[in-house]
Amino acid sequence: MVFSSLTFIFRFLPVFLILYFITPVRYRNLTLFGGSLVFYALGEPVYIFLILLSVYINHHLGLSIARCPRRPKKRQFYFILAMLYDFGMLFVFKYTDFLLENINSLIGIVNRYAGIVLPEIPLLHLALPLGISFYTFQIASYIIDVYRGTQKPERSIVTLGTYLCMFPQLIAGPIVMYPDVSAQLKNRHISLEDFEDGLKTFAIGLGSKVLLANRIFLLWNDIQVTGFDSISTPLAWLGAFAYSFQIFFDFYGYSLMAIGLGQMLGFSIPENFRFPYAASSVSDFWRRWHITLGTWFRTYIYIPLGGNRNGLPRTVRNLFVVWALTGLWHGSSWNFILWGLLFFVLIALEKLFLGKVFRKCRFLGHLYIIVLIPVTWVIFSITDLSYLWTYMTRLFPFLNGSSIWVFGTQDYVYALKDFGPLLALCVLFSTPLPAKLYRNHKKNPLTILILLGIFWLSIYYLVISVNNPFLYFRF
Amino acid sequence: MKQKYILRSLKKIPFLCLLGITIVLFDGIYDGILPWPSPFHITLSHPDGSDDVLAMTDYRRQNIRVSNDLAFQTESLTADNPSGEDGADIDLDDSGADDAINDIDANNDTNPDTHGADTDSSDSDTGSGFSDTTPDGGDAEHASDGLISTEHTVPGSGAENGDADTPEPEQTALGEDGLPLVHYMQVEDDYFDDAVFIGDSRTRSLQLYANLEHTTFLADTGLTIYTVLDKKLTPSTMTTKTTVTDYLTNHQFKKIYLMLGINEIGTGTAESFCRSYGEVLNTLRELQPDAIIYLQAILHISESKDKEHTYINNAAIIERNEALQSLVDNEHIFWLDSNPAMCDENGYLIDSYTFDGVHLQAKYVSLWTDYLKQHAIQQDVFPVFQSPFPAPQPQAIS
Repeated sequence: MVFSSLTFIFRFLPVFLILYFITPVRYRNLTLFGGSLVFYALGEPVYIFLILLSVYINHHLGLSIARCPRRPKKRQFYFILAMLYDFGMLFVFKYTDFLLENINSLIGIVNRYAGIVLPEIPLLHLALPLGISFYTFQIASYIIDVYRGTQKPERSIVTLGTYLCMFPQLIAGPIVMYPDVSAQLKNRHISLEDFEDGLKTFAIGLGSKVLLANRIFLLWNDIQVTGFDSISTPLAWLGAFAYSFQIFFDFYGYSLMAIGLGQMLGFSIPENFRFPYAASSVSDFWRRWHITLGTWFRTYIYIPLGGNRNGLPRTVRNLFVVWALTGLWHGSSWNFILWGLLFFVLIALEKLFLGKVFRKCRFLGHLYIIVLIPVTWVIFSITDLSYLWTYMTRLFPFLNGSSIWVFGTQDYVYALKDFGPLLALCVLFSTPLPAKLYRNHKKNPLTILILLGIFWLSIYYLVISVNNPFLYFRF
Repeated sequence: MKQKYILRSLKKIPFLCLLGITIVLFDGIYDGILPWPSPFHITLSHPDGSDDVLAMTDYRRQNIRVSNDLAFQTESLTADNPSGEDGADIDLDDSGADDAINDIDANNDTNPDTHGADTDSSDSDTGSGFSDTTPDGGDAEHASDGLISTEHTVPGSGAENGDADTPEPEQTALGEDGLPLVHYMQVEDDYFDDAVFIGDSRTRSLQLYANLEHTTFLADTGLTIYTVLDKKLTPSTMTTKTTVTDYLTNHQFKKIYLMLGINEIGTGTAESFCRSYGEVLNTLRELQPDAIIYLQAILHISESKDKEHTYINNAAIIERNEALQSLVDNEHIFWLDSNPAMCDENGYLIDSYTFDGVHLQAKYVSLWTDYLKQHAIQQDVFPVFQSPFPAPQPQAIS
């Protein structure tokens, strides 16, 4: 179940909130845990045992690690066991088929050149359990912290389960670290104003997802419908921008909804986006985009590897590892690795000399981000490498010497006519301006009315898209 | 004291209060949005009396599964028309085609809401089975009954879908029902210079990618048979928006290519769709008395889209295409089914030609235009043709 659905907003949430607030305070974690499991089961009835098993095993191993503070070997054993289980599960479900596909293509090459017939390995075709990438990282951070001794293990399995399964952040982040919420898991106070504030944040997030992301997606969809090899270069760029906005407002909206829901329940879930498209360098971009994931990689991979303290070659190696893994985390396909490695190259360049240029001339940095980031999202979006190349040749027609125009029609004019106002709105909401206005006029009656309008307009769009998908995905 | 305190705390949470009130109101109007029964019942009815728009209570019927067996249907249709040569002629054996049009006219006459026609203008009631209906009594249900009966007398109408290579017809003859047979000729791009294409996003891809620079397109994404006349859209020859009615009042064409029907496939029934289609055709005939109308079959969708089992499926498309053929008179309105140009033998749009299963990709649009060019109506074969059934009289524009 997703937040931006009528079932969630009008059915799950009211029932859950009533149950949650009539529960005595000391049992609220149990209500939240149970409610989250129901939430999860509604979207993923099969793999729910997997997340429960993860809670059980990690709870147990966390306690075991803490129980023997003076026996490092044993501690290490439990720690490695936990890591093997957590990342093993992630690997099995997310990456096995990718690995097997690559092995199979290797076998194919060997067969062709050696003239032998080795059998191909059948793929597993496992469905990816909902949110496994997110909850694996969360629980791993908990175990690592316990192993390092910076975090006391959680005695109550309900509390740990609540942390891991808490429905606001269960399926799409933000990746909440245990220390962020450990105090609130024990004791939290919710005032009506907090609740109202959370509700407002939720409404903004909903609007971002439904009114911006979902609608600008139609432009990207139109381009796919037309076929990449038939679009003009200006339209290819518009498409890249549209996809960039779609992925941002989708994810940003979802994170906002999570933060809002957390606030309504008494948790302060960390911020996940800070106007990434207003960044002035790629490093800056990644400090603003999916902040919780970046923090995770920095805390648990980059810094343990030595960060940037052991000389340039080591720094470059560490960056390589982090960005290859970041790419892989986003999906099990070569284009994601390519995408991650592109960021490795860009960030390494910035560490070497480019960063200085951008710090001196910020305008150049902004321009660089505005042009470059959409290209990286195109790589992110198109999983088929030959299609990706086609799109690249449309973005940069000089790559294969083709013309800017394919059909002689100015298709981008029509796209601008249809999506121009929406694109302008997306640009506006990518800047910090609207958020600043909102912060300064939170209690203003006009703000309240606008938010109410956003909420009901979103509901309207959700209704027409459910009742008749073709009004929404119109032909 | 306590009430004052509550009021003060409520003032602190205006958004929550307003949201709560609006949700309760909303729940009262569309009962069933919240998990518990609404204490208020506010009855609102849609202007048309239909409950189709914003049917909130039905928002759970997310995936209506239409269990029509397409494979069976196409098979049986092909079996109806075993001889390949027959497929060449547009096979309109339905004796009721003219009747159907008259029926619609009759319905229009007796339904002041739709056309504003006077009930005493009893010109087009001739020959139709509804001439005896009272102005108030001859309502939509009667007309749809007539349509149902004509629709069932269309045999093998979907059979052309399977015939990828339609041979050119040689002989001239009348159909059994008295409808003239249609002859095609091969034409070039300039044939479309005095043509207007009216349609939804599929026609729009024709506009964008068919390289027919001198042709007029009145196409808009999401256009339906219900909105086609009045929706503001941008004609390909203009930069400002106008309606199809206004545009066709001011510009005359010789050919009208019309294709609509995919957006409204989930709305109404084949009969109600066909009825509205007939009304639109009448209006087009009034606006463009010199034009012939190519009533294009709704294009099929791909197998993978069909297998999603939503209410957009080939069975529904074929059903509506069959119903639409009752509107053809082969004199002013001609049936044109381009599906053979882009579908496989099972009537599915070929998967590699499409991304979303519904639209042709830009580089395959030429399949469609080539088919249109091969199937231009040869009008001079029947300069004057007297139909045994009176043709629908265009109503005077008041």
